[in-house]
Amino acid sequence: MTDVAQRWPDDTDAVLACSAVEARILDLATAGERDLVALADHLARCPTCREVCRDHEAVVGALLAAPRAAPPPGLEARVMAQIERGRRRAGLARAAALWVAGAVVGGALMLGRSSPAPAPTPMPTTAQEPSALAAWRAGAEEPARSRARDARATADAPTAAPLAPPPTVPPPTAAPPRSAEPEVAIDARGARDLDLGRLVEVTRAAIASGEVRDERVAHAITTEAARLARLYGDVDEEPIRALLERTAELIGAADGGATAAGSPGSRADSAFRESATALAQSLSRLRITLYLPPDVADAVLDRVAATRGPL
Amino acid sequence: MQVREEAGKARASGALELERELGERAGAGDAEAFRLLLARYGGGVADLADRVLGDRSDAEEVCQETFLRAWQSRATYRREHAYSTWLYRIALNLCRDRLRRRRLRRHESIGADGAGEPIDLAPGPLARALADDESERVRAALAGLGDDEREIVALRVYGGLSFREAAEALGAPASTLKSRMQQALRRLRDALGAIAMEASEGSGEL
Repeated sequence: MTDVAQRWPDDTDAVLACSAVEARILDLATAGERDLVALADHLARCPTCREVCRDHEAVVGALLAAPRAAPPPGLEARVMAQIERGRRRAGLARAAALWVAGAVVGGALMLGRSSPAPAPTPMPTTAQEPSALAAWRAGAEEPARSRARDARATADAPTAAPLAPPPTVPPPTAAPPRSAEPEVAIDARGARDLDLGRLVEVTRAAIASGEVRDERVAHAITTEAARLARLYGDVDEEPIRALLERTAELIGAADGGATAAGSPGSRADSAFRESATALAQSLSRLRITLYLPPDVADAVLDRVAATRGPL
Repeated sequence: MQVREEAGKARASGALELERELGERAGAGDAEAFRLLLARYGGGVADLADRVLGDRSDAEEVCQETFLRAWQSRATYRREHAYSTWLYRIALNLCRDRLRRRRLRRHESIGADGAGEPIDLAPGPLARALADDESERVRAALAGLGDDEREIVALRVYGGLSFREAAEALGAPASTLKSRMQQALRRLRDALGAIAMEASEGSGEL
């Protein structure tokens, strides 16, 4: 390649060495107006560079003429599904903390119900949620703090015996930290062990007590239970949906009958306490299956059933 | 004419801004924003991987893996860069891993005697002669390039990245990439010419 610049040394405005032309034509997008003028001038005078330019055009043209590869079929669906699965796994850590917090709520309900009947509580607004519910929700954001709360609640509440895990079960605080990949094999067992029917009954009983505050808590727990059950996958959607619908019906019925029900009497109080205990047992049972491998969980559940009656 | 150019620039600038916005939203965990980016760049990443790897099946796997990696490391995206540049860098790293594994497998299968031999990704003469459609010719010609050359060609021609963006994606100076591109285009010119000649000889044309 000859250097055109040497052949027209006096043409300073349009001087461009052959050695620089090839690089310029490869990067026209970033060339300024002055560069483009110089390049055009050079190409008009230099047949060698014109040939180089034509060669490059032909090659790039051939590359672009070849059909482009299409994205793999179903790429978007597969990627988004994997992302969703990853999110679920990561959510297990949060879920475990929520269960612990749920147990705290159960304990709080029982404690609240076993003490002398409090003065009627006005229905809380959204902005002024009951503290138990607020604590339960806060557990989603602060799992460590909620675990600590749970530990304190267990220590301070000897009457909440059903909540206390059996001796062989490690306390929630001793559970391995749950990162994106759970260390303990958790499968659909957790969801299957969740006694959805019992939860419905507990919710019904909680609502029947006529205490709006407790209804909201019970509803929140039931809804969350269904959500968690879904998290484990391999669970029929149908019973979960039925659970949610049933809960909605019950709450609707409770809303309609709340005035007629009036303040909960001692019988309702006792029924609710019973129901809350059952709920706490359900949560406790689920927690066992969450934290332990299935075979160990079976053994623990058998022991618990033998000493306390079936969960 | 000038108005049209200005409008085109504005559109391009708007598109880049939108892409960066989506990148940031995806970085914050917005899956819907990520889905839009996936729809926008799924083809580009697949194409890039196909050109670099020369194997459709591998390219499809890399394409999927690229987006999964992009989601996993979404928080590292910075809006100073075009999202495509960031994405292509991930894709190229995965392509490099795959090429490395291929070489390793080949090395293991031929024994220690073949150590240090460059792997020939190009199809043999017969395959090249039979490569009568444009796509296969281009594939064969690209396969004859070095990995570095193939990468810059793929980024510039198929990814549409500027040399500056390609320099960000490849971690090499733009001037080096320009030289590499020149060299690659010369080799492609020779390879495409040779393949065309082989093909016409094979079909009895001269």
